[in-house]
Amino acid sequence: MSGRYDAAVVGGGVSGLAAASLLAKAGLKTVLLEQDAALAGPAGEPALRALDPRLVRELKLAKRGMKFSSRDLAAAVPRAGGQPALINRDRHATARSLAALSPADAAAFAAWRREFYALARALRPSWWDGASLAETAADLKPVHRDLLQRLGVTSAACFLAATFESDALRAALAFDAAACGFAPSESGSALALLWSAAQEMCGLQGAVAIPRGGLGGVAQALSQAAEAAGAELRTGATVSRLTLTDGRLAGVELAAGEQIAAPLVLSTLSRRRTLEGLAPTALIGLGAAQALRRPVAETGSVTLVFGLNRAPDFAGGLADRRIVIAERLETYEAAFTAARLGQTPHEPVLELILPPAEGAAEQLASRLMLCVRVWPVPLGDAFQRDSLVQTVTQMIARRVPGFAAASCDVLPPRAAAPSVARLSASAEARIATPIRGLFLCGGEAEPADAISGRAARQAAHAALALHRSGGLK
Amino acid sequence: MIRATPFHARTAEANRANLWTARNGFTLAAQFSDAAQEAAAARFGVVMADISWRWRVVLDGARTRELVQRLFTKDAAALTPGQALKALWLSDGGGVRGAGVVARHGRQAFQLVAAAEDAGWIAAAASLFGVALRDMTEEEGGLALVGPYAAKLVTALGLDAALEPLAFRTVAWRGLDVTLSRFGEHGGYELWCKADDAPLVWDRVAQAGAAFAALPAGLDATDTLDLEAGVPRPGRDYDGASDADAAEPLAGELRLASLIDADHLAFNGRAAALAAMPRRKLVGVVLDSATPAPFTPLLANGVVVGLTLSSRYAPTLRCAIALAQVDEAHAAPGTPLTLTLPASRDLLPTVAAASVTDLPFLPPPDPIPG
Repeated sequence: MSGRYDAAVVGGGVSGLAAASLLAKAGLKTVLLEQDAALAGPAGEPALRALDPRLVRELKLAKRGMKFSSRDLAAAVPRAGGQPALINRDRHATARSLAALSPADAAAFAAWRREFYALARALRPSWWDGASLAETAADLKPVHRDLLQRLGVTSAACFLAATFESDALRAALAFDAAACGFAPSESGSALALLWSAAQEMCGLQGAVAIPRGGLGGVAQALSQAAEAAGAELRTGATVSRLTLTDGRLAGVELAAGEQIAAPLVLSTLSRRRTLEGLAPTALIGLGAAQALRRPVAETGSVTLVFGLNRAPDFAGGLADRRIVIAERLETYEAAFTAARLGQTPHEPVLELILPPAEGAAEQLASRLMLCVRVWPVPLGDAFQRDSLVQTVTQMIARRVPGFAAASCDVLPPRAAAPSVARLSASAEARIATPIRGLFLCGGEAEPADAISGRAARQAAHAALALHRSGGLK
Repeated sequence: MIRATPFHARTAEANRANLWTARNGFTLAAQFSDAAQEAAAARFGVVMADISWRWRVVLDGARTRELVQRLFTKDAAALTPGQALKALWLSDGGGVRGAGVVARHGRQAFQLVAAAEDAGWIAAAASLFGVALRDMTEEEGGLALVGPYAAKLVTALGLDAALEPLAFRTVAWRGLDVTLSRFGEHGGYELWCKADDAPLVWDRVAQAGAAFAALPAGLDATDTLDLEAGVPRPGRDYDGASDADAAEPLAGELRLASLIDADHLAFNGRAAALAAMPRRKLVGVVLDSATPAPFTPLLANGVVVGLTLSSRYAPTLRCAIALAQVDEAHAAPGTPLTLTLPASRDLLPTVAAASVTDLPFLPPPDPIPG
């Protein structure tokens, strides 16, 4: 069996489904190829940090059952023997809450947050519409341009330490940089901090939201959109390589040997896996292939899902909160150093989220799930599942009284390849490959690692433009 | 660290001028007695030149054929053992990284001989194909025999001079294993031997060459020959592309387009190289002045239309000549151009005349039939 299509999308996650929906909606005969048996996969990570608002609008996701059980989680910083400090949207309430940590920080917070978010908003053309950072910077107010220039060369650690004195607050704010894969002392991590602040969830700037059903719930809505648009969704289809005719991209070949003809291919895989794993060496230049070969320390994050029999007694409760466990900036340094050396960190950085129980089945089982995102972990052979679970369990038990896990699932780790160049490049540079007709649309085509569907939208539009211009003939 | 070639003991003895120069990191005789005399001998008699400084690597592995097809601008995998071809290797953006001779040694083994080293690129490409790369530059010596009497000298050495250009043959020669090849641009021969055998090979050639008044030739003389033949060399006349994406220098602007086989589909940088539009042309200019420094602007009616590359005094033509890159519109033979030479001790800045000529300046000498 083989087929002829206008476009093929490799990978069936949120990004792949979004790209396939947009292409099919524009009238292209599109096939999506997912290697797993199910499209959306398990519920996966509970929280989303960014979701492209235009994608939500274009695909009418809200009408297709995408709902949020929590739209804006406050970050909670645990404090020994007291209520946790809460960082939320109300900057004056946050300032009051921070007074327990440090009065000076509480005084500085509101103004800092206002300025920082204003700059982040001003940079939205760059990170949502695809202009490069340099192009956007030209239109900024002078005061913002100066701040951006400073953020471009400094680290999150230096930047935060210049404003705040409390270790706990610095560490909690630096979490946003770590969530993009940057150690807070790396250059460029301040830019990642800014990027996080420029994201949008449910119409709120810099929010973290819990979609109903987790990431799987979003994927569900997207797959409905894809089917409604007429895209063909195929599961159990592993793409083994890209095929060529006359030195041009012709389509993909599946592991089963099936040929799928499609002059446009959108890949949700990383640049390295797409170009090194799928592309015949003849398609990319020797220099580009060598650059891909350069060894990098593979680190990333992993989500552990603990099954609980009863809610833990965390001071102030766990509803609408995300608890960030990072004692001080140095905690990140030790953890990132260990992970890059291929060791499981003794004290990784944790983000705890207790998604609200929904549906009769879960209430019947009276099971609660505590989702714990762990940063950073070494990947590949160095990933030690058991010792990581042990470390994390102990860390939580020390801070959350009454924590007793009945079970623990480890979701597949996600690689993070942070790069300042990617943060400041234009969308075109992020999604383009040396091969005509091949685009990247996954997490690595985003300015920083995130699942937002933005790269999928940009790649789909670039592919459509190429299709319509007749550039593939 | 200074590297000496395997012939250094002999060249040091023969170097009466005691003038030395360096290329590819090797110490080499610039001239043994008189460069003009050596260049004239290469044109009318025969000279022996130490070419051990050429960068040589052997590529060997199961996927070497794929590698050479991907690397070089001609299909080296189509060669039979004992044959060679001249080819370029390009960056992803189509810029010329280097040029050399690719010789097929066996089913899987290929050798690259090049005037400039590009080890990083070739080694990285080899590792992509799991091919082992062995640098032979210091393990073997090379002696070029150049001039119309070269074939006669080879015969006098007791070797079979019947060898096509761009072919080579490994032979047992009175107790030594040597390779006789014809890779050069000037119609001569090359003898390649183990480094330890080099003094013996030099002595044998010098002894047999005495009957033909063979002279040792230094680098100045061989560079003069290259220039007269209009052969640009990487490292000396142009800098090869060093970035992976570099689109320059263009083969078409270096008179190297003939080394790109458009029908060969696999080579790196093909699309970019074939799409590139050369704006300049490599030509020769004959000067009525001293030799200008490299990259001296060439003017037509006061407008810069090109640059000189290397230049030398050509003893055969009795004038200074230079390779130059000139805009297509001014590249016709006979076009008069001017250039300004800087002030020297005796002279104010001088405007000198230059005249465009076709390359080569001189055809290679016809061999004396054996």
